[in-house]
Parts: sequence; C-alpha cells; structure tokens
Amino acid sequence: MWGLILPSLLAALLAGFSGGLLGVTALRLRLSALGYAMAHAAFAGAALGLWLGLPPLWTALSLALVVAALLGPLAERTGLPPDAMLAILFPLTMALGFLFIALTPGLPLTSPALTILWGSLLGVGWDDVLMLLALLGVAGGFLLLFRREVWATLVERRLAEEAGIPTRPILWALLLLLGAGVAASLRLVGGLLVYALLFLPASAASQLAFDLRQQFLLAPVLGSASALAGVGLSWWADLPVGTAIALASCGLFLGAWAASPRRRVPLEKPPFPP
Amino acid sequence: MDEALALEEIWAAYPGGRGAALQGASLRLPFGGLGLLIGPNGAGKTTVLEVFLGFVPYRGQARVAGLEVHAHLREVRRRLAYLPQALFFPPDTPCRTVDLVAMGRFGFLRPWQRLPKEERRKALTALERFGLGDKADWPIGHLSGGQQRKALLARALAKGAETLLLDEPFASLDPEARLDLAQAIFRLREEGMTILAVVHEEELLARADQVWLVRAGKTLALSPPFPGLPASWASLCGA
Repeated sequence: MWGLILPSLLAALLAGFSGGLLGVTALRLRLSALGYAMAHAAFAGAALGLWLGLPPLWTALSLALVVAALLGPLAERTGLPPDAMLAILFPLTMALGFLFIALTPGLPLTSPALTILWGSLLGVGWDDVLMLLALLGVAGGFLLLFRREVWATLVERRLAEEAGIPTRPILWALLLLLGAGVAASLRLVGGLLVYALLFLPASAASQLAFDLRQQFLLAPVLGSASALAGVGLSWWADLPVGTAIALASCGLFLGAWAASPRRRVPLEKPPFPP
Repeated sequence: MDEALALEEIWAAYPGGRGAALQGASLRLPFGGLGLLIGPNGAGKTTVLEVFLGFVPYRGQARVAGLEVHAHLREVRRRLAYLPQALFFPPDTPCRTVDLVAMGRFGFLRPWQRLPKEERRKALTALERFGLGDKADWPIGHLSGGQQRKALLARALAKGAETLLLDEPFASLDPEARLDLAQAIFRLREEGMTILAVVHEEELLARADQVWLVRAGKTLALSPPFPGLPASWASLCGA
C-alpha cells in the first residue's frame, strides 16, 4: 500500500510547500486568475500531447511554461495588467484544449488530459515527485538568492527600480515559476482546484504574519500541512483528492482568519515584536 | 562642473501613449539647487522626473551629475531618490517602515550579500532625524500620509542620494502636514541635496532657485524673483 500512497504523500508535501512559497508572490501581485489560465494551458497541453501521441504530462508542463513565459512580455506590449492578460489567455487555452480533444478520436472521459482537470491520488507517480522536487529547488533557490530583489519588487515596484533593482526580469521569472508550479501540481490537485494550494495557504499566512518575509516562511508550512491533510482526508473519506485538498486549505484559512492578530492589533502599538 | 540634473531638447513618449509627452524639454539644475516644475495636469511634469530615472524612453540629452541616463542607468539610479506621485501604502502592505527605508540601499549590494547591520543602523538614524524613530518597526501602511512621505525622505537620506526627485509631495496632505513636510525638505536641501519637485502648492516656492513652467511637453524657465508667482499661478497653469 505504501508503494501506492508514498508518491502521493511526497507530491502533496512538495506541491503544498512550493504552492505556499509561490502563492505569496501571486497574492502580492494580485494574480488571482493565474490558477485558471495556467491550469487550462496545461489542460490544452495534455490534450495536445494525447493528440500527437506524446507524454501528456510533459506537453502540459511545456504549454503552461510557454504561457507563463509569454505573460510578462504580452502584458507589457499590450499595456494590460498581467491579470487582464490571464483573463484573455484563459478562454483561449480552454478552447484549444477542447479542440485537441475533439481532434483525438475515441478519447475517453478518464483520459489523462481530463484527469488533469480534477486531479488523481493514484495517478501521481515518481516522475511527478521528481518534477515537484526540481521545481522546489529552482523556485526556492531563486527566492533565496534574490530574496531582497523579490521582496522590494513585491512591496513597491517603482521604488525598487529607483533602488537599482531590475524588476522586469524578477517579475517575469516569478510568473514563469508560478506557471511551472501550477503545472507541476496539476496531476495531484487538478486544474480546477490548483489555485486552492496557491492562494489559500498564502492568504492564511498573510492573516498570521504582517511581514512579507514571515509570510514566505509560514505559507509553505501551511501549504504542506493542508496538502497532506487533504490527501489524508481523501484516503479516509474516499473523496477526490483535489476536493479534499481544497477543503483542507479552506479550513486552514478560516482557522488563520479566526486566530489572526490583525483583528486584535491595538492601533497605538506596533504589531511587530520590537 | 556638470550640473546635478540636465535635459537638452528631450523628446519622450510612453509605449502605447498618444504622442510625445515631452517635446523638446530642457532644463539645468546645479548641485544643491532647489528646482520646481509647475504646470497643468498632463503637461509632462512627471515625465521630466521619469526621464531622469530612466523609466521612459527618450531622445535627446538627459544627464545626472554629468552621466547620460541611458548609458549609466545603474550609477544614475544610485545617485537619485524618488518620491512617486500618489504613493500611499495601504494598511496591509507587508513591510516595516525601517525595511522600506533600508530598501534604498539594496541596489548597492550583491544578491547573495546580507544587508549589513550598518545599513539598518543608517535607516534607523534617518528615521530618527525625521522624528519617526519610534515608528521604525511599524508597518509602513499604519503611518499617516504625512509620516509616510517623511519616511520616504528618510529613505533618500539613508540611501545617500545626491538628488531628490519629488512628484507632488504635498498632495492629499492637510496644511499642517504640508508645512511639516516642507521643513523636512528644506533640511535635506541645507545638507546639500539637490531637489527637483513637481508641485501645485506654494510651500517650496520661497526658497526655490529655479522654477520651470511645463506646458504641452515643453519647459519654460521662469525668471526670479518668484514671490509674485502665486498670484499668477492659476493663469500660468491654465490653458
């Protein structure tokens, strides 16, 4: 049994950790549509893979990365905010996904392209674990190495530019990592609920910690906890794993909101320890 | 010696914008000078500041301490401090006041380098100079509008900038806060900082060395003395 569940548990741990870590940046950049757009880009990629006879996971990841890589430059060229660009890319990628499915003869509803939409506990393999591990290494390394630059870009971009920080490559790299993070978590959580892992742990962390650095430390822990709790709930109550992880993340957010020091801060005292 | 700030026949346009925001603008401000940009909304005042910061593409000559902006952007930005227009931090901004002040020095450090304690001490000292020492650990968004502006002035001081670019620093402040902020700006000027400010108010006028009227993307240097200016302000800035 452990041979079956171990990849899922490890994938949940890693997806929760990287989702929490990257979610702090997505929350601060107000990219709420990111989950939808990336999930459907990956869905279209998986469908494309099935149509062309290529491994769906890799084509899903590739298309999600292409969309993430295009997001920053497209937003800049069109003068639209990244959130609006996501709203444009979302229906386009969804339409492409259904087009590729329509072009693939005899594709059943249980095909990998469609399980990517709602996740699968048993569908997670060691290749997913390795991919999540690689993502965590790259994302964690980037955030650690460029922690000051990322922090400044997320706090106030114009002041960061004035301080000599090249915010454009920082922002584009963050968008790319966010796209990769969503794509790598798809097989476990599913495209329809992947943003639960991206936004809820980060939102819970923002309820418990004022400082961005503290949020970066707390969100991955909360993300891992809610992903593991979700896998446990899915196993115990025989629920779809994406649903269970989303429910666990929501529960965690509600708990953080209830315990939030933000609601108790006396105005005359600083909320940070001196 | 080179001027602190110099523009010569600058044409600047924002990507996707309608036409050029600056159309042959020129100005020269010596080191230690206080210059003001006045004019109607949309005339190009903010664009002048953004040219110096390298935020907007331009044609012509733009120099900071003799350095051409595009060619020496990193060095130019080290010499400048900027207070953007309408920048107010909302209460949920996840940043301590002292960290925002220290942020000005980030461009001087290597990515993997830890922020030296000396830099944090500089930030604290700068905040104390502006009467915000007890607010250092507060979230920046919990400070009043006037205090936030003074924290940004402290940031300029801690950064060690030679020149301060202010974009409507008095906007949305009450008269008392405006006076307080003007005193803080004068203190920086007395210490030798060059200041170029976009203003719609008179607080800085009495001590200005140079005033430029910006209209339709062009600059017109007004002749001193400026005390008579407030009376004609409305007509100058009008159509």
